[in-house]
Formats: sequence, C-alpha cells, structure tokens
Amino acid sequence: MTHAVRVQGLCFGYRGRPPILEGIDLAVERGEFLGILGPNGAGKSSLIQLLAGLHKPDAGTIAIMDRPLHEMRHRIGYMPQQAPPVQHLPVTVAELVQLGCLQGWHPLGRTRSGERQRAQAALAQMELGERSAYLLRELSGGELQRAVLARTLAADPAVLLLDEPTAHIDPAAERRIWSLLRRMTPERTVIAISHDPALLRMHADRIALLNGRLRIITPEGMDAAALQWAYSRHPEGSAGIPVRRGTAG
Amino acid sequence: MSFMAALLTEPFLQRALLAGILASIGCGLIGPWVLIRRMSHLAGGIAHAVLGGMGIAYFLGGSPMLGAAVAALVVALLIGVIHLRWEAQEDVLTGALWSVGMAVGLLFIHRTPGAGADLMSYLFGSILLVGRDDLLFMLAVDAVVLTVVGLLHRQFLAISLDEAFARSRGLPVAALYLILLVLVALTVVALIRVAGLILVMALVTLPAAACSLFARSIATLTLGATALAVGCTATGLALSYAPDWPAGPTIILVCAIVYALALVATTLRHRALPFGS
Repeated sequence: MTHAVRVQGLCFGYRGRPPILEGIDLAVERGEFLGILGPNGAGKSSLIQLLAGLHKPDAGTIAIMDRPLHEMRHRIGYMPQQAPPVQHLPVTVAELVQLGCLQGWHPLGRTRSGERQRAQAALAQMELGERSAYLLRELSGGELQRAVLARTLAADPAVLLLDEPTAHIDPAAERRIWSLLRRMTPERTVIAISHDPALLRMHADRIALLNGRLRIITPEGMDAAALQWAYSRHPEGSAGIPVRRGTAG
Repeated sequence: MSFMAALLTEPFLQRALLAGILASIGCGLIGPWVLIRRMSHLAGGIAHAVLGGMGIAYFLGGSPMLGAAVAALVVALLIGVIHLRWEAQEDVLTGALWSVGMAVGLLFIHRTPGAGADLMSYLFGSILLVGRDDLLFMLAVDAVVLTVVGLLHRQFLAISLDEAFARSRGLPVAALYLILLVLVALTVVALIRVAGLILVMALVTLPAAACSLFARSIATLTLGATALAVGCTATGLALSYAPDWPAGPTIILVCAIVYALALVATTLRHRALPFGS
C-alpha cells in the first residue's frame, strides 16, 4: 500500500543535547488527517521539521509517497509555527502567497502568470480571494494565518505539515481554519500539531500522542487516560493535562 | 553665486550631484532589504569595519577604496557565517567586528605618515572631491546591485520573511543571505565618498524607512526610496553650498528631517482615520 508518509526507526537530537525522538515509527495514509498532540519539548515541531527535510535524522528513514524524502520535497508544504513579522513590511497578500511557488535555485523564477493563478487559487481555498491586494499588516491575526496557509498551498503540495497552524489566534478564527484544513483532505494528506484535544478529536482521522515515544489513537480514544499518558510521561514531567476549551465537543 | 548657477559652471559640483544620484540609486535598491531583513546593525558593522581595510591599504601604499572594498567583503562574509553558525552570539560578534575594524584602521593610519589628513573625509564623506574613478566605481556597483536584486528579489523576500519556510522550499538560504550581505557591503563602500563610513547607514536606511510608512509593495518602496534619496542628496548638497557646510552631514540631516516628517504624517493620518478603518 502506498503511504503518504512512512517513518521507520527515526532518531533525532539537537547537537550537545539528549535525543528528543527515539525509534519513531509512523505510517500516514494518503488523504488522511493526522493530528499530533503532546507537551512542550516532546519533539512535535522537530518531527514536523524532520518530515519537511529541515533536519537530518540521526537514524531511521523517512519516505514520502514511498520515495525517499529528498526526492519528494517538492510535494511537501510546510507551515512554520511562527507567522512572519509583517508590521514593518509593505508586502501584499498576493506577494506573500506567490512566494510559495518558489522551489530550489531558480534565479529567474517560473512563469509569473502561472504563479499568480496558483496563488489566487490558494487564496480562494483559504477564503481570502478578496484580500489579495491588502498589505499583510492590514489583516487580522486569523486572516494572516490563512494567508500563510495559502502560501503553503500555492505549490500544490500532496502532504501538508502544519506546526500549530492556529497558535495565538482567537477561538472563532481557529475553528474556521481547522474546518478549512479538514476540507483539504482527501485530496491532500494533512499532518497538524495542536495543543487542543477537542479540536483534534473533531477534525483528525487519527491522533499521534508524542512524549518521546509515539502512540497512535483514534479520535474516540482521546479520553482522560490517553491525555494522562501523553502529558504525564514526558521526561521533564512538568506538563499537565491541557485545559479543554469550549471550541468543539 | 547660487547653487544652481554654480552647478551649471563648476565641474566639481556636477560630479558631486552625479555622485549623489548614483549613491541614491544604490541606497534605493539596497535600503529596503536592510530594512526588511532588519540588518541595519549588521550593515553598520560592515560600514565601520571598512576602516580597517582602508588603514591597511594606506600603510601598504595601496588604494584606500580598494582596501575598503576588500575589507567590506571579508567582514560581510564573516558576519554572514556568524549569523548562520553562531546566531546566539551574532549581536556581540558583530559589535566586536565593528570596533575591531575601526581600531585596526586607526592604528595603521596612525603608523602611516600623512594618512590622517584624509581620515575625516572617509569618516564623514567628501562628495565635493569625487573623481571620475569614484563615479565609475559607483556606476559599476549600481549595475551589479540592480542586476542581482532584479533577478533575486523574490528569493530575498522569501528568506527575509521566513527562513524556515524558504528552506522547506529548497531555497539556498545561506547563499542568498551571503549574496545580500555582499551587496550591502558593495553599496556601503560606494557611498563612503558621499556620506563617509560613520554616516553611511543613515543614507541607506532613512529614505527606505520613510517610504516604508506609505509604500504598498516592495517595488514602490524601492522606487520611492531611490527618489527620496536623490531628493535628499540634491537638497543637502544645495543647502550646504552657500554657507559652506560639510555636504555629507547636511545630506544626512535632510534625510533625518524627511524621515521625521514622514513619521509625523503617518501618525496624523492614522489619527484622522475613523476607528477600525
């Protein structure tokens, strides 16, 4: 069977520090929506960044569409945790989203008309079509997150890797973005980190609990015991069960 | 004789105005990227460390501008490597390069008989003394910066907004960052004759900063910063002529006044807008 993402025996640690991920195995099917939950420092962002090719694993393999990661990076769309600093920049939404079409070392870029079309399509998917001429600093927090997501979509990725795509925005904007993300599947595979168990239970097909080790559960299996497992076994032992917000049932 | 009358008859003044225009083109092209990338401290480090290369060149009997260019490129690449490898120490190491470069330059100039006389012109600029070679060097730098920025401006924007995303798209972030630093270094050297290495950063950043308050795209920011730099340079040159003020500092003060007016205008405009618009 073809997997969108297949990870085997993945180990990773930052230089001079203990390993943050050890012996991680993970298989994500095409068109699946996988949520990742775990305490701070558990390696969630590191795992996403490894899948995006931003770090080299110390051991193990990563395959995208059953091909080695380095051959398939162009099919991956990565959204970092931090939105770009935009307050001092005269950059329009359309300009930002078109940057998502850049790939590798192409000094002259590709056909601009094609890029504009893809950017416009990505903005439409994120329900931001009418905002394309706005400056980034003129957007609300939720709109800026959607613009950044549209930049990730502009390259038409098969696999979306999203590192807390709704951090620091209000619950209403958060719900809207997760609904939009849910609509990305099954055409795309989505792997998204969140600290909100209720959101993941509502939108994900499966949930990966990460605390140094990895445990996959179904949304129905996201109960107090699962959360206890995710948050109490962290090596630092400081994380508690997150407070459930009233955004999803 | 008025400035305009002198401009028609005095070749040195014509060269000065041409130098101001060429310098302004460099400022307009590179200033926005210094602003966007928030690298004015790094660019300041390059500008000041250049004195080390000039001092060594004086001591060895070579061209100070050649020494400045070599030093600027070396320091730019060093700062780039520091950013890429030791980001946590970037602020301290850039400050160290800034001071060490100046210290080296002053020591070598002190050991070179007669070199001290030119020191003030390189520290604060001497636009009225520019020669044909200076103009050709500025023209060449403008051509290089225009070509590279024209080809790579979207890549520069991508790495300036979000390095992690740019790396995920396979962009050569390190190479692009080093190229940008080299362009800043070349521009700084080209501007030394106009504003001097102490004042050059104001000429690079203030017109771009003033325009960024109103611009609605990188293209308009670049064009606006260039036009504003030309205006400030010409105005500074004209204002300094009759009272025989030093031209470089006058140009910088004009830039600062324009930036302050732009800030006030932006503040007043925001106050005049209804809440929520």
